[in-house]
Amino acid sequence: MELIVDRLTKQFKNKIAVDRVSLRLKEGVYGLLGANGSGKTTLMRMICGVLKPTSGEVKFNGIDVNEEEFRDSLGYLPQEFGYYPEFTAFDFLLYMASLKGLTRQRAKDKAMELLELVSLTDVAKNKIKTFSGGMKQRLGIAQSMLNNPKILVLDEPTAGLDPNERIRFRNLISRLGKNKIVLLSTHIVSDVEHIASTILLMKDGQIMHEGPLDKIIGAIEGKVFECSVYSKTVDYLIANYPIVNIREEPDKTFLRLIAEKPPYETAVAVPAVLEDLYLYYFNKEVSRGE
Amino acid sequence: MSSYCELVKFEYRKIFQKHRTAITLLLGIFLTAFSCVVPLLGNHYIEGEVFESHYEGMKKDREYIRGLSGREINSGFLSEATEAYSRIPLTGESYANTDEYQQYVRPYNEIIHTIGKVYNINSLKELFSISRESLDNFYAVRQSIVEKNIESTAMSAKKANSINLSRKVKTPFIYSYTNGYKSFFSQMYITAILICFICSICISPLFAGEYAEGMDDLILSSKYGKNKIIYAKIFTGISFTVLLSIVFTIVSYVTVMMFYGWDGSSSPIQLYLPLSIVPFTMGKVTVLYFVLVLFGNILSSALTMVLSSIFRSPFTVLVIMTAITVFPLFISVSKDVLWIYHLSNFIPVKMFSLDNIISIFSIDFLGLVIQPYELIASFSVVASMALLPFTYINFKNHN
Repeated sequence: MELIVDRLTKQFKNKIAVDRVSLRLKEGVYGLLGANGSGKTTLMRMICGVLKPTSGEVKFNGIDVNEEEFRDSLGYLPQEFGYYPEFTAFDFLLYMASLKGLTRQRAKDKAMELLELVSLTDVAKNKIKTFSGGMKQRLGIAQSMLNNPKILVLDEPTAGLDPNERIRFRNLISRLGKNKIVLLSTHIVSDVEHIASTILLMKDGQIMHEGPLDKIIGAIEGKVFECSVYSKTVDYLIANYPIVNIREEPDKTFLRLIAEKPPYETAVAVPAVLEDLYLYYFNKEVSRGE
Repeated sequence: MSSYCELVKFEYRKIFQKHRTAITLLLGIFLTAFSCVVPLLGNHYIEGEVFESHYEGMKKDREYIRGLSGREINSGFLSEATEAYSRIPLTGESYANTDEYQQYVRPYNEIIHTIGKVYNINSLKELFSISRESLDNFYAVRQSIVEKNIESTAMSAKKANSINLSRKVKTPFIYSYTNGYKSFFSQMYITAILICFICSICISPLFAGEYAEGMDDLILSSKYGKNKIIYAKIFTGISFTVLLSIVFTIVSYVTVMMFYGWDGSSSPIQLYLPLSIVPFTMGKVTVLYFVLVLFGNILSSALTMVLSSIFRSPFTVLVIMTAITVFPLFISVSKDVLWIYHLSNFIPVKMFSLDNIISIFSIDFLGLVIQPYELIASFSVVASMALLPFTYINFKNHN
């Protein structure tokens, strides 16, 4: 089982959203991490065949993305998608099941099973327009798994879920990754950190880093420092180093930052985590008090 | 096949689960039925006094005409009618308000319409001037007027075809009560436009609604999202149009006939359009009219679906379709430049006019001499079939 993305490019007028991305994905969970506008959604839409690439190709076990057989192996949860507000959750799943080619009886069985999985059994006969954002998201996750897909593409799947639902969903994805190719994008770094066997770091339409967590973090290992400093030093450090975290303490300010060598005499090197790398690459500045 | 049927079923559910569909359909049926009976509402006044209600008047006329039904329209019958009119005193006031009209003339009211068209008369004086000899030659006079009309058109060498067709009209005509059919023909024009509007309202979200609801990505990434579902949507749009056309035509037909009476299906269309060249009965014209309205609406729906697959908002589609439906109603195309006139009849709403469907023109098309209704029907089918692949391609390649 192999999903090959070969020099995939998408250009919108003068902007290159995805720039010659090449990937070979096998069974496992792949976490696509990137800032807003980095090209994650565009890449995922092309992988799902809903956006035509400017150049490049996507193939699964030799089957082109435009073929029905490819879509038969695919489950997709878009970042933003609508529902038919007058449909019940159960009807919506039946409709999606018919689009995915399930027989009526199989569709009913699978719909009930997935509603149970995403804890929507009690509201299965309720109209979707009465659902909260989180419930809709869970329904979206359920529909993506109706056809037991070999490729599962989830664009921001945990958005709108409460912490309990998020953790439950993370565990579910981890289990699914054993016999599927799961590609998920999220802004929530801890989600990727916990479940992705491979992390894809995307910036300006290109994959900057690709590999397991240890390998990815290796790029900044020994470069993450923590220190507590007085306010006059804080300004200097903020101006000169990528800051990962700032916390005000009674008489000092705690800083976590990234630097080639200790940025201050009291700074101590600490183990790097994925969030450090994310903020380092995407140059996110954490404002005071955050 | 079962998955295809399932998809069609869901498309119908999407249409019927919208409140606006139910409201539009109910309102449409009400307007159709109501417009059928509008001519029967109100009263006829003579000198400020209610003489009779329009409904009573219709019933009275029906009885008079039924009393004369079955008679051959010949010089004797026509003379009776003109003599009855001669009893009206020429006082200058509206003759329909006179006692003489009510007493002697009213039974012949309908036949006078035919005489008026054939002898091209506009006043009572002209009516009285028709000679007995001319009345004896009623069918010859009628045929000569028909042929004169054909000759006076800008039609090319194919005039002979129209003349030959007009000579196939079976004479003599047998007088009969046909007001049900006459009212139905008038009503059907309104009904056809209503069907066109309602189809636009209900079909415009078929594709654009998916974009607007944000369902397009889910659909297009599914197994049948780029093939079966598009066929299912197109089938739903066309079948909805067919069903709606059948239901609304039946509502119009039954409502009109219930009030006016069911007789007249085997009478010649010439009792309604005396100078028509087609040798058809009222019943045959009814079927023909329905078929043309159906084809016109299928073409309109095909156009709606193409627009729906292009635009992201069903409302935009609806606005464009309303413009396409409404503007041609106010445009009258001269018959002097025939090809423009025939082209204008390809606009769906123009197909709804009975005059355009069974007009006097024969058309020379690629060496074939065909009638307007044949050309309009063929065009509707071909144009619809040509448009639908664009719908398929647009939705399939939607980004």
